[in-house]
Amino acid sequence: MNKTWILLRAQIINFFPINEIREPWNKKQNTAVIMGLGVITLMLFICIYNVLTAKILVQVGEQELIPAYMVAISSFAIFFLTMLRSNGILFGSRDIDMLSSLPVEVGEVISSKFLFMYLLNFLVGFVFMVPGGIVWVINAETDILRFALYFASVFFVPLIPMCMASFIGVLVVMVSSCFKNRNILALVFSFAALGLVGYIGISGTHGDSDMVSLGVELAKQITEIYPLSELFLKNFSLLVLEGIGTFIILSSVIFYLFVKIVSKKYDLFNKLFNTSSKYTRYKGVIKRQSSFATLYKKELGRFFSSYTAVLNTGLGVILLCVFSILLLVISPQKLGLYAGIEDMGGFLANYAPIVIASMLSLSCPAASSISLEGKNMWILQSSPVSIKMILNSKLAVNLTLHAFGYFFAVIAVITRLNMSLIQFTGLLIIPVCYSIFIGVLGIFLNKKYPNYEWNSEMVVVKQSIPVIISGIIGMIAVAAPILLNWFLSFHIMPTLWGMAAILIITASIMYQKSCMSNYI
Amino acid sequence: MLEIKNFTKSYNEKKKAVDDLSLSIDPGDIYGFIGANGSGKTTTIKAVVGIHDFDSGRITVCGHSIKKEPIICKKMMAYIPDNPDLYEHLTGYQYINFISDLFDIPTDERTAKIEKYGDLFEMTGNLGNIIASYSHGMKQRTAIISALVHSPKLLVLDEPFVGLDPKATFTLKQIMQECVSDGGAIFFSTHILDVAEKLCNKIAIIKGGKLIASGPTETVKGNQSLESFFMEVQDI
Repeated sequence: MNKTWILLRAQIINFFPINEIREPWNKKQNTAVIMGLGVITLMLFICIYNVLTAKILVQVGEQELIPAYMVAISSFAIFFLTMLRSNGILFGSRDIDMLSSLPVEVGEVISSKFLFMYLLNFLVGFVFMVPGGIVWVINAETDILRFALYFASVFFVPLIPMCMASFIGVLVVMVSSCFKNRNILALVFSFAALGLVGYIGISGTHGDSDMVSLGVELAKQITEIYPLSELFLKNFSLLVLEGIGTFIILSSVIFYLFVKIVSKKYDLFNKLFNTSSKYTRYKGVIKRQSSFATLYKKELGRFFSSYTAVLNTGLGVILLCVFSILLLVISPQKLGLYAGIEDMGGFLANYAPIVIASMLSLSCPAASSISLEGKNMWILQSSPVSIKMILNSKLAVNLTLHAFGYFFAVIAVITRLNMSLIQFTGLLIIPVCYSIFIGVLGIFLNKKYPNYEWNSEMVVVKQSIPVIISGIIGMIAVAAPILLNWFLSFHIMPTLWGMAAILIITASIMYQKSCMSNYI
Repeated sequence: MLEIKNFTKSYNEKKKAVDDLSLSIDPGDIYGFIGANGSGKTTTIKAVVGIHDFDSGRITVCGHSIKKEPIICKKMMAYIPDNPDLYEHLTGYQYINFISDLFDIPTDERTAKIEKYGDLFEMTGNLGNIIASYSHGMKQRTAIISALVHSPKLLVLDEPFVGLDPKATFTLKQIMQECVSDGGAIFFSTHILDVAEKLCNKIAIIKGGKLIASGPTETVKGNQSLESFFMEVQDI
């Protein structure tokens, strides 16, 4: 068997709980089943969403735009996801030292890691492109060649976004490694890069769009998000072959070249990624603190020392800060024009608590904080501190992170909007209830399903069962009051208060349960 | 000091990792815990220090149950694992200070202890560096210093000599002797039978999760060397 395939196979077995599922008595079997169900549910949601989006395009008579739209959106999603995880799977993974000692070529190692990342991204591309593609096939009047090429391109769509995101990831690591506080700079660069790409993509997607020019407008917006999607707008056989054919060839060539170039400098990139901060000397100031303070400080330091954890779990709070800045800089009226909401002031006065809560629910470092202890877990397990205190310190980090975005957002909303006393009280209390619930839920799930045996932080920060389940439950908690308001005409404020009460009661039950045990 | 009674632990329903193990470690004992790989040594040690829960039996430290009063028990103990995975982003000083905070050690006391053991293990010059830059032996020495900083009554060590250079090994042996002469006790696992024979006043041998011999070293091994005795019982 080719060595790349051997390495890939080992990665897949190590990453997915395949062996655990095979062992009927293994306690991790339940975890694997729940995780599998969570992933399938999430994929189903995305599939349904894409079918609905494609159907809307059919309804407005623009079914011919479906392929380009799906390519653009899936590429965008793959780009963001790869950007968030390439520096964890591709570089700086713990198995590099072990692999370096084996008789395998660097090219084979990197190919296997790229293929593994491709496999994950292929699934993302698949849930975007195939459901939309089926709607297109049913509704479009086009030739079989175009259908065939579209479905063949599903295999090639992840390649270019993966290369672009990995390239930016490498660049971030290279630049930040020259500075003292490497991780903080890497994070700033990463968020700046994500913001820049997001801005370029979204800045072109507004303007006057009357029904006559809707098709042209949509095509323009789609190709502005991802210029290569223009190749999917061709309609005639020869042009289709030229368009999608060019896309497939271009994707393959770029991917091949990228793997070759990275292989040449792989050792250097890994070295840069694993370089500790240059600030290595520390004067031995021995200072006494309380057990909680020392645990909290340790936890905060652990969180901010992990580029992967901050980049992935800090995203919601960063978005909240961006939202607050936008609200402070641009008037609600202008924001309303931009978002297509007539009375933005009135809308935000009612919905601000849930907008803030939705972004806070995206940031849940608590859901991976216990697993992130990894092989260091023995230190806490053998220390004379209660489980409650350990969990509190992890929860406190979650709340601290949320507090940062929360205060910023509350100040921005209060400054910009006229609110009644009830709305103001809701703004202050409802996001706090959501924040506590999200943090406690993360801790509860992570205590129930810990994973201390990981090779890359990415495994627990992004793909572990507590992270996935807490994300889904968080989304449901945010969506439930909105859906009740939209579809069953429930008043938003009482619904939000009711939801907040349910969340706090649930959080207190989970908290009590988590703290009961003497073992972690 | 440490009482293990009918301790049983299984990781899955099919096989017991440790089955009905009973041991008693008194003040002044250096108790060696010997067995082949996978025999249940680390499982026992992890249950003793409160890392792992267990199915049945009782483990007490100075009369306090590790299950019911874990914090009281842990305050009296120190544990050093076979592989010292420490917080890599902290410096040696920060790590020892962190452990001292958890054990609530007064500033003067911890400063004196860090100075004493830092010098003894020749680590003082390195404690200001980030742990990620340490070798395996340096991490092991840092773990030992942090374990000694609160003057534990009971030291529980899992393969403590692995990765230590001869000088550090000698220092650790001396510290172990000091600890028991002050009324403390040591329970440690090892594969180095020569060390166990010379250092331990009592030994226990575990095989396939079951205790097959325990008691004063001389009584257990009889006239033969510990190595010969160990090989003999492994073949049974």
